[in-house]
Amino acid sequence: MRRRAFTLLEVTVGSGVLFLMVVMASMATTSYLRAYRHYTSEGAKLRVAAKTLETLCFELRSARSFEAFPKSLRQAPLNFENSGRQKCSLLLRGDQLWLQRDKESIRLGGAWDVQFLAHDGLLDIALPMAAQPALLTALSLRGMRRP
Amino acid sequence: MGMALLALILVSALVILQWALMGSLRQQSQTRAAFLAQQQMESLLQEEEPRAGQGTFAEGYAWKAQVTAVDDFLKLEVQVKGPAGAAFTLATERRRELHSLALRSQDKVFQTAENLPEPLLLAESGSEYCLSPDGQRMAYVAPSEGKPQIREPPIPTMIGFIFNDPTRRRRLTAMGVRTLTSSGILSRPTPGTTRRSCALL
Repeated sequence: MRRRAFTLLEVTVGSGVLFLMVVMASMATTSYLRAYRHYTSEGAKLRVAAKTLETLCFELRSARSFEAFPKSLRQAPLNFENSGRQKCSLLLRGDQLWLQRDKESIRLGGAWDVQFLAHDGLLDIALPMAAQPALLTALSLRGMRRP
Repeated sequence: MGMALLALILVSALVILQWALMGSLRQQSQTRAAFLAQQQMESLLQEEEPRAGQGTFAEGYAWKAQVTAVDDFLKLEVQVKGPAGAAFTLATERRRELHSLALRSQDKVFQTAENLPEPLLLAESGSEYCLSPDGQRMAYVAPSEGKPQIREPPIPTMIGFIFNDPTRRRRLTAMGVRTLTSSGILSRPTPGTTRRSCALL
């Protein structure tokens, strides 16, 4: 069998195609990894916000009376009395949500704002998030004294 | 051959990454669906007569509520579906009717119910009440404002029925009626004068 060598043009074209494939594959992999890191990070933020909102709802469910509903916790703290007749106050310190219960301070989780809207016996709660839609839920005010 | 193997490995790696990415998105969507289901459930529980229905939220989420009567209870189920195949179902039960309770404390008669933040004062003297022979109804003397208005049947024979029927109760409450006498006389407080009327709970 006669062995034939490649011409310079064939080697150049072959190497070029291979180089192009490797570059495109690297770009696709890098892009996928970046997207994966982004969504994982967003997912982690959402999980933290979800935990904060859940703890917040748990505390608000124990309320028996509210003084007033501020539109945003950035404007004013939310004051209420719980079923144990303890004076409670929900407030933001930096990007953390805190519950002040008598002289005790409890950190509920990370949040840079919490918004409230009371209507028809319901309290809509929104936890705004950076670069994501706000996390929304509602709480029934049945059996609670409202302002 | 080498290039084909390289391409196969690359495609497999990208598919795995894609699968993980979709999982992360579905998880986020699921978390949001859970809170929206809670929101809808609270709204449903708030209603005097919860009814089945469906609707949509923002961001492509949709809810569907089912209400099934089981004896004295209502079985409520809210399902929220969202993007990336997220689906979350929340179920609970509540009484069909809110039960109220009369109690005597510190020589006063109070009424409490699950939707009242604190007991209502019915009678200032705990001795001014009596129970019907079956122990299901209580007559008491309540301080009220205004002149009692007396109405004739068909109310008297159906007192319990009327006050147990949410629609009729709402209508009567809207009229200003808060008490019914033991003989079926309707007492409607009118501003101006102070009277004491006999009431039935």
